[in-house]
Amino acid sequence: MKRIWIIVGLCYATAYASQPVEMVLTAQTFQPLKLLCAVEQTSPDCMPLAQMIAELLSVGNQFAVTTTSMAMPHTKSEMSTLVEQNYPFALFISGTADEVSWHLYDLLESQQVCGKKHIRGALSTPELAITIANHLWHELTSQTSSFDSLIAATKQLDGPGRTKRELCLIHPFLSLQSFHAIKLVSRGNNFAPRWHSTHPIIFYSQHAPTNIRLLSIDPYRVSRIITSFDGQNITPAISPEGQVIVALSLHDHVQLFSYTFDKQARKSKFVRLLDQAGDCISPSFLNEHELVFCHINEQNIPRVGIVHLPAKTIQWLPLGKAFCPAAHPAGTQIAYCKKVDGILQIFTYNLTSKKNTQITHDRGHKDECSWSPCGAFIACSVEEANHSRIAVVDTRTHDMHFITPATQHWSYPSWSRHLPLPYQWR
Amino acid sequence: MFLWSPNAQPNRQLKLGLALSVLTLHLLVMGSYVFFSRPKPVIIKVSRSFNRNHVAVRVLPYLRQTGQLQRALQVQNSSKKTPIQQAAPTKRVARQVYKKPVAKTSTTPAKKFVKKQKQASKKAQKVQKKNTPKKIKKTVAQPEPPVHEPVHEVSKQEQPVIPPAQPIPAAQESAPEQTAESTGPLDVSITNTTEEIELGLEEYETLQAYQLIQSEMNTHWHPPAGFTPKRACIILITLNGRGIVTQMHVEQSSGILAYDMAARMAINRALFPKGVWDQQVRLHF
Repeated sequence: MKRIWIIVGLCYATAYASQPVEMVLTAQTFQPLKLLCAVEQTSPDCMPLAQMIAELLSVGNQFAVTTTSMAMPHTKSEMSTLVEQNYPFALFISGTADEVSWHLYDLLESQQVCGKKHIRGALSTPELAITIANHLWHELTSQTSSFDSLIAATKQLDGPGRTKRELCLIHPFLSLQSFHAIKLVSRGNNFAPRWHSTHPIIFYSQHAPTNIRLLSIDPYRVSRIITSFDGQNITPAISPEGQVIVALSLHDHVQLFSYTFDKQARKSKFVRLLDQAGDCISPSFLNEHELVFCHINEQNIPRVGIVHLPAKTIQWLPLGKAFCPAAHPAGTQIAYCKKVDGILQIFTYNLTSKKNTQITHDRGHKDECSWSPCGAFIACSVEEANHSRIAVVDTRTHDMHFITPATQHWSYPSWSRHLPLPYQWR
Repeated sequence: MFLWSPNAQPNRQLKLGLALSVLTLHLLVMGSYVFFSRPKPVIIKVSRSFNRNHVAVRVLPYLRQTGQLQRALQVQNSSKKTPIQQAAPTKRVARQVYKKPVAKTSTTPAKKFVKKQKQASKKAQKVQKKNTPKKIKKTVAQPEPPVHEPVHEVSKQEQPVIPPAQPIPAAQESAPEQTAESTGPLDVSITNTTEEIELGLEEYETLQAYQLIQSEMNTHWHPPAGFTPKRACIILITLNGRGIVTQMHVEQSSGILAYDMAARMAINRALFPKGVWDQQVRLHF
């Protein structure tokens, strides 16, 4: 009898039990997430810092950051007022000339997500903004940013006589008003800068009276001649473990040579890498054993290939008339340029899925691709109407924004790896 | 001692009979409660890709569940599972007809319901195959986007046909798509309506609630572009009797704080239909 009553009770319990409705939702459209960057009313000096942080976080159009000056809310009702204005996050900044503190709040929960106090020390305002933005970006997106990197590029100077291009460092996301360009080499016609893979050294080519020589410059602004063979000495590529491949002239063509230093004989050795007729240029390391390059045959038809260094075998990629290849930092993709309807556009090729994706679609010839250290952006020069500007393209959203003004002639961008702050190049 | 108490009766058979009659009575009471009480929500894990599949639906008002919906979901779910970032290809079953919504009328008996359905489906007969028998078609109405007022129930005879759903909890489409669900009624002619599924009242009401929630969330769910979370953000919300979210619990994070926050903001701004008031809803973003 008792068992019957227990069974009846269980039946009632199951009848009353209910489970929630479940459904999967997919986004139709995408919008940047609003973020409020508020400076304490008692810290007006922090406004330029807040504006730079807003500029950095607005990269890629994923966040819409608004800067304002207001008193920090202390109650839930004050925070809920901000939620009604569609702000889910709020960043509050306060500080003095010596130290700055910031707090990121989740306004829906009225809780602090993270916060930190920074001592300015040797950091300039842009560098402090970069440091704070790095923290925030990682907290909000769980991704590494490229805020602490720089782009080496050349700026053509207007004037009579020979062409003059000065080598400069610019920030990929801050405007030239926020982060002034750092001039490294002011004399001569300099072009095609390349960063060393591990050391803060920049290699660049310079027009000389009889040839194009390869030089380097370090953070102390000391220039050294690396190679000065007859003809062209351009675009070195250095692997993470120190292998060096450089493009040198040979019999009126440019070929790839591997560089080694014989310690016993104390001599530099340059050994030709490939036997291809025509020109082999733009080397870029995918990994320690593979190098992507561009080959231009005697009919001036370009193509991109990957050379396996130990075996010296070449795998030609089905990209068509592609050139200017640049290897992704992870070695999984290649960015290159190709003409589409008479206009040079940027493409990416995934080595695993063999999938081609066109990144840019607008007018203006794109050239000289360079990946960011986080692998999400590509820097390139955009040439239109005899003027060249440097643009940064987001490979995820295909959003492009220019980092140099239209009135100046910038070209040959080369993106560095992550650099320590403060920048040694100041 | 009460006469009905088994211990008061010396006869063993009478004891058993009394116990059985009490049990039968309990079962009858419980069965009538289960059948006639407020419908228990059906767990359906659907993805928006199913909105593209137009299926003719027939609602049987005298049944709570038919199980055909679940079977249809299982059939479509048997196709390959896609990761969260890829679009889920779905089996195209049939097209549906969208008509303007009609004001709610009282529930009619089955025969009158059949008659009215025949009248409504005459326009769609030209497009149907000749071989298919003339069945009662449920006309579809496209619900308008909900406004800031309680959702009014519409007629069960002419209701928006909600296509069968795919129970893939972690599947999502990558590219944003345009749907006309929240923009008004559509004139889509029926083509190749070979299959028709029958739904019970409970299943139909749940699908109706799903469509209303889907259209509402489409209005407010706009995450930032460029994020590819490795797992879905699952949020369990509790609604009170007025449809206000009283509790929002993130059961599983996507791993990206901005993505989770966009989902929470969408829930915060959305108005949920009356069909899910006083219930819990689990949303997979």
